[in-house]
Amino acid sequence: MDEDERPRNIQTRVSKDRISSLPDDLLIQILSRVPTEDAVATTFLSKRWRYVWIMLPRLDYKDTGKRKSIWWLLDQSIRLYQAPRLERLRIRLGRHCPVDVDVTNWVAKAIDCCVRNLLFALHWKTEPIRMPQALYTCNTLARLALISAKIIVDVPSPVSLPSLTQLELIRVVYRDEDSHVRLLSGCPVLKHLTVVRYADVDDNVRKFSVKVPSLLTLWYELRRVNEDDTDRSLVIDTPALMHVGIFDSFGGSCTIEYMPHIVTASIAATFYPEDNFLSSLSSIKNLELYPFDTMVPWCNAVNYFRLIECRLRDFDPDWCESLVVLLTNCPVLKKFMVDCNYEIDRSDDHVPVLWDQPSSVPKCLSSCLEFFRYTGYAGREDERELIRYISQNSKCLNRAEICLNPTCNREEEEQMAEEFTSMPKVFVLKPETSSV
Amino acid sequence: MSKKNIVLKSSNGIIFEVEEAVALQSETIPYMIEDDCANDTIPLANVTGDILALVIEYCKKHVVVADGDGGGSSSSSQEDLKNWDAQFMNDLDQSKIFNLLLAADFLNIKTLFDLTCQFVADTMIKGKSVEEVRRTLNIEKDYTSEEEAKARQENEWAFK
Repeated sequence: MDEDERPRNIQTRVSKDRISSLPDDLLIQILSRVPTEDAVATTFLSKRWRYVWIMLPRLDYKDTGKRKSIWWLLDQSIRLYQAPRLERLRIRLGRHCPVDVDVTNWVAKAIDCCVRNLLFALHWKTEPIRMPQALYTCNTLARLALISAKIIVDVPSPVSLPSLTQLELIRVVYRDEDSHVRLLSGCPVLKHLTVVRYADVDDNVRKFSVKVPSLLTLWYELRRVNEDDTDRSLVIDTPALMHVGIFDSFGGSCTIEYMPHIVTASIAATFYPEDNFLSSLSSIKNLELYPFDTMVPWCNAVNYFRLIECRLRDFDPDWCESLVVLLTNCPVLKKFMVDCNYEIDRSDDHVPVLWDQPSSVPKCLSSCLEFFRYTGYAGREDERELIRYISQNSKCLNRAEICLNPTCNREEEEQMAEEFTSMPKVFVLKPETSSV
Repeated sequence: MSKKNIVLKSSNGIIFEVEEAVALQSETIPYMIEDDCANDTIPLANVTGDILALVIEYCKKHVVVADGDGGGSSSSSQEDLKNWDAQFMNDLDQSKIFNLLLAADFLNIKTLFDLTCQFVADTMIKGKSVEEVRRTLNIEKDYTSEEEAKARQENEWAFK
């Protein structure tokens, strides 16, 4: 029996390199599951492996910070790359990358390889760079993300990105006021747009104008730094838009054309909403609102007749009155969440604004509200009255959660928990146990 | 309701009879049922008996969970399944792993294919130096000294 086994064992020992006999497409499948630098290094394993990695559909070069910059590996390896179609190229370079590297060659190579998804992030202090003009006329590009204040968006005329459906412009600088307008006008099928502008960088744009008929999702963020730089404005003309997020703590103006298809909106803005915007909101189902200074315009003017879920952030208990008005204007609301500011600066002689119960119970309370959460409860009388009012008048309520303010001490917490013990379906949660 | 069984025959003639739901995790087998006479055994010319046994073991384990909660399997069972998968792969030698990979590819069982590819990637290549990968996978360095010197010179970058 030993004699029978022995030859077979020898046989398996001799032919142990099984992986090299796999077909290329399976090796590519395996290599696409390891970090790009490991996949590239397989070129040295043996002759069999020399040209396997160059057909990888996705390449991801990322500086981790701990090690040396990957730029040299990227620079040398991408010259050899040969796949007919580059599905995705991600380049994220950190601070250890030398400043004089010519990054545009890499992008040019990616365009030659019919790149579909390109992400380019620079996190190092280089001279400002421009992408090759061919980037803005790339037929195959479906997703593009440019992330760096060192990237100057300088587009040719005309721009032609016939396949681009997703565009992210994070902290980039535009050559002039018109660059972004020309860029967007060359994207006939653009569906998702993210724009993040940091006010510490002058990006050469005063009026940011989003005029894209095909757009479904827009996230626009403008971060404030300088008090005196308040002349930046936003124009939105996107009739097909379904999801909008605007974060603008700047106080700049905002002009929005009517958007009849809006379903979700997340708005943190100090600007005063104008009529077109408010009437667009009347169709939404899901609203997240950071009212900043006042809730009044968001509550009074709109009938949110389809709104199912509403979350108010940074709520000031002095706005209870407005909040009841809001409920009156939301006839089908099912989920309502209010996040109170944890610590609101008050002068010592601050008098809480009292609110009066409305003459009739809002329709959503009597017929549909199922879930209510108040986060940051600090035991104020007006807060307590509001919670009681909503909990007691909501006929369909399944659960109400009161999450206590983290500034409360244990004694206060117990006292506050006591306040609601008589109310069924109301659960008092301490800060660390509350769900987000 | 009586359960329909399917008979599979490995390349070395070993017969396996399995429930239809187990076999249908392969996207290739339905085509073979349509093409061949449905009552006959389905011959799998590319898969040996020992590997087919592993494939069936995997598919049986995964079919049970899929049916368990009427589609919505709980997170704990997902966790169990993940542990089971890890143990399943750990128990195999390299030869079986690569045969299993080929079988999963041929039979088009996506989750098993992903599992084997990921296992090879994670345990045999990821984070390893060229020398370590060669040793792990028993890859013979077939560059002549001259060729290797040239490659290293041309590709100095990879050794940085």
